[in-house]
Amino acid sequence: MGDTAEAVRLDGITKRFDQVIAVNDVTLEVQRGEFVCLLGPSGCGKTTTLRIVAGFVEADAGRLLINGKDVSDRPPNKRDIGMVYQSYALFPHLTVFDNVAFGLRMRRLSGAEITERVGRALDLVRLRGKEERKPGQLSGGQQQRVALARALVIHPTVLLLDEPLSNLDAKLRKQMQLELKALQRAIGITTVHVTHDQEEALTLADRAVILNEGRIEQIGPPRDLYAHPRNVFVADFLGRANFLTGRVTAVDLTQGMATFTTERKEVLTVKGVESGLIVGSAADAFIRPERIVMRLRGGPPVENLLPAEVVQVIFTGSLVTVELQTEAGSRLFVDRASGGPEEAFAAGEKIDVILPAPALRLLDGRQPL
Amino acid sequence: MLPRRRTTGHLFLRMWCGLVFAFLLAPIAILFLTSFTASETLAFPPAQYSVRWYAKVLQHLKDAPGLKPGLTGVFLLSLRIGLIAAAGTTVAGVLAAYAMHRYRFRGMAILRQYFLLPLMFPQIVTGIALLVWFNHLTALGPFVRLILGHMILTLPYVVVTVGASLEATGTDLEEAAIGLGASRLRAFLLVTLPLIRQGVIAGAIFAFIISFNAFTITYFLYSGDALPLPIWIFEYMAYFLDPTLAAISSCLILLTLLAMFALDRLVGIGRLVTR
Repeated sequence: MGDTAEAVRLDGITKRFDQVIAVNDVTLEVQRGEFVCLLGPSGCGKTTTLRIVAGFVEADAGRLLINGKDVSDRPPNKRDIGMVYQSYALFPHLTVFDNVAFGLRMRRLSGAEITERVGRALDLVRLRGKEERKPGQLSGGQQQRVALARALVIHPTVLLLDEPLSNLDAKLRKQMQLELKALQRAIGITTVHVTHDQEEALTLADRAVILNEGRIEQIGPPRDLYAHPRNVFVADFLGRANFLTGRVTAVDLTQGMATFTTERKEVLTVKGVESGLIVGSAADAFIRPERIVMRLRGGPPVENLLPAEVVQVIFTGSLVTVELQTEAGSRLFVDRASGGPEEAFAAGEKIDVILPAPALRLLDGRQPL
Repeated sequence: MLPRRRTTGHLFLRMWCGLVFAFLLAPIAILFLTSFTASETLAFPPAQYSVRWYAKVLQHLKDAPGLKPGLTGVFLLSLRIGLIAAAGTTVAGVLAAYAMHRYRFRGMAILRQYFLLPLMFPQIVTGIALLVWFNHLTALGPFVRLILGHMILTLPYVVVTVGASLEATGTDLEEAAIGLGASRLRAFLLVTLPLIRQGVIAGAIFAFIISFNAFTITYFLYSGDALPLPIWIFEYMAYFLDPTLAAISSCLILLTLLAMFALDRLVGIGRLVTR
């Protein structure tokens, strides 16, 4: 083990396939013991980035350091990584024991040590007693755990997970997410996880890396990314969001306040704005659906109140989504825990909507289509 | 699965299938029956039955000095050529199929077609070409020529069966093995090879059968010292068109069935076909 703090460091990694840039100047440090999710839509370069770290894809430019050592030119079998695939990639002709023992045998450990370490790895994923089964005789969730044990048993510097949960059904996936997180915390292994499922990334990651068209859009703890997305892409990709297109019509930096006018002439006050905001510039106001306040008509006047009409109420289990249209014509979605009074709203009902100023954020204007 | 229904259509389908099977089996059955004829000609159905032509086959087993080689030697020669050609072709075919599966390179589509050429060319063309070519390679004896010729002929079969197995196996598993610390060679030997085993065995069996049966190409390459079975039968037929041929053929069919049974016991032909 090296002395440097970070387990993995990507330094200006770039990869082209023919004319397409799959990974564009990605720089990222993964701290020892950290759980990092690479998150983005398909084709954003997240899997390519992971495969560059693993060594199965060679970067065109940039350096890759594992444990502080430049491993850019090292083949995958000399990189000290453990990888779990979406397909699990278990060896179907070998038993569970032999699958897990594979990496140890490649390292020429003694038989006794192999037996001991495989046993511990199988304990870790709660698969003791299944040693003699073939992968084909196990359920999807069990196969996934064998793949995890096989990757962990070699004590790699970094665990690489390539959408390992996406082949499981929704309920099992939820359960495995929690198990994976608990396991990762317990053994403190540095982990890089690739997923297109933003909820999975929010659940698992210490830090998430949002990728789009090969570039990093934003890096940060899930809570930060969710509350303070840097741009429309991040806001839109991570969780659900309401956007109102318009212009900045006044800025008061001493108060950290700005006035924003939507294209439908609704005037909103935004608090906590940062410097650099230019009056007259195009922007998007953004608010999470759970932050919008709804109330019946006739209350006292408040800031950012918009009269609106209920379009429909959608029941989705633990959440109720209320779709609204303001009188000026803007569409808004509001989420509430189910069981509240909002469920009684009828389509066409006229209510008041409040967009609390601290919950509103201004993002750079969207690119014109 | 849809439930099976007993309808008139279903009955007709069964009868049709029965007819097709009968049509396929009839020549073999007729040949088999003809081999037991008592008469001097290959007439069917035989008026009277005897095993005299099998006695004749036994006489042909030994060499007739100065005249022609015996069936035993000829059969063993064909067996040897088939086994050596199949072994050589299997090694070359696995390597070629693996390279084309694992690496993406310019001109690969052309190379893939190139490997299939012996399958597309009329065998007579390949035969003539080899005859001319081998005339320049005088150092090669007839036995080596036959093996090389049969390897060319059988290579496409191995490339195709092994290629299909590799395609079904994908690259994830070998990659996973390398990720776990295996060298490329060990990953291939420990993971990929066991997984494509059935394709390799199927290809090898194909190669052997094609070589053992090959007549056209063999006709251009054989010599008096190295005279394989199909040529022996052909030459015999040119002189005597008697039921001995039917008896030899029946023996070959029996041997083939025995070999298939043994192979099934050994590796499971059923599984070869289904995978």
